[in-house]
Amino acid sequence: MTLTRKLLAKWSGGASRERVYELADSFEIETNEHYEITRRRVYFDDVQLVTIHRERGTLYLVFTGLAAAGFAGLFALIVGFGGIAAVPAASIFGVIALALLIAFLLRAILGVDIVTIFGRRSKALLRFRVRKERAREMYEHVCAVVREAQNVAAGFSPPAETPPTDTPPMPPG
Amino acid sequence: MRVALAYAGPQCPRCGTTLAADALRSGEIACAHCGKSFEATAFDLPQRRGPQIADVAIAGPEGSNACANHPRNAAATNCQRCGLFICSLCEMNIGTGSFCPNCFARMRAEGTLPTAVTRYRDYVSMARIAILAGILIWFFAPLFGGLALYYAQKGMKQRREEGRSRAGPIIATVFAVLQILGALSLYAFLVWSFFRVPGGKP
Repeated sequence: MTLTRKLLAKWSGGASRERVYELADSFEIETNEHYEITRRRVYFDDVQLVTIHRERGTLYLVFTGLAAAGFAGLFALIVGFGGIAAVPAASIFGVIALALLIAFLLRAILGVDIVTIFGRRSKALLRFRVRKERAREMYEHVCAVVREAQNVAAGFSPPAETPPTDTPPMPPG
Repeated sequence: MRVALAYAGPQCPRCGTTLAADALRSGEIACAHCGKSFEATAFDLPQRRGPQIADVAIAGPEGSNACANHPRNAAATNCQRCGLFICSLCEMNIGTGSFCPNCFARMRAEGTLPTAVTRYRDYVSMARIAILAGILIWFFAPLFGGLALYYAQKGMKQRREEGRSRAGPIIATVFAVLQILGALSLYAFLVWSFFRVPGGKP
């Protein structure tokens, strides 16, 4: 079973990794949980709705914000009690706090762009953290692919291009 | 309007509420449940055509075997597993031969139909876990390294069959070999240091 597929988007969550591929007739969602892979498909001719929106994720912001504040507090506490001599020991907490703060700010400022493909039986989510233009491009690409496949399935062919009506008349003779 | 627990068609991408049929349209849509908006493109599902079903119904069982499930339909083929005569309505063929619906469901549940399987073992992840276990429990590293090597080879075969990149299993193989060699060297060092004579040649 050799698959020719194109990677559209990937996402790593807390407990699983998800990749969305484009096949010849469908979108394939590959979810990797620990050591098991689950594959689902949304067929082009089953797609009913494609949406795009941006979200921040309240839970993520609360978690990273609180964790950043907690580690920064630990850093301040150790430095406060130990003085300058304790900075090297406390720096690990400072580094963790800084990383969490960057994650918090990135999410708060940029958000995550999500393209959702709703089929009749399943759905696929394409998430984009930083590349916003790519999210828009992918939304348009998904819509175009689905539209083309559904037109083919319905036996519809786009009308042939007609010459513009304001074509100047042919010269006499 | 309800928040869907199981997937039941297009939903609000923000709150997960199943959208009403009149909300399935292109443009900016505001969810009636959460009030937040999102951009959408709606599609009309193409009507599925089934000429073969009509043909079978017209043909009837005259002069041919009848379908076991639909006595008015002529059998188009027979199930490769149980031999039951089945019509085009009953035939389940996903590129692995014709089966009746019951056999298809059983084989799918057993996982014996390769093209109907949707859950796989990720052997490369298993190899990574074995390598990590070998690092944590270093005394048993050759065992875990061997296990990682085995999983990496299975992962290699899996990726080859799927036509995917084999970088992951190759890296896992290298780490597994290094782990085995490192652990064996450590064993050798321990044995050497145990048997050596203090202050002289071993």
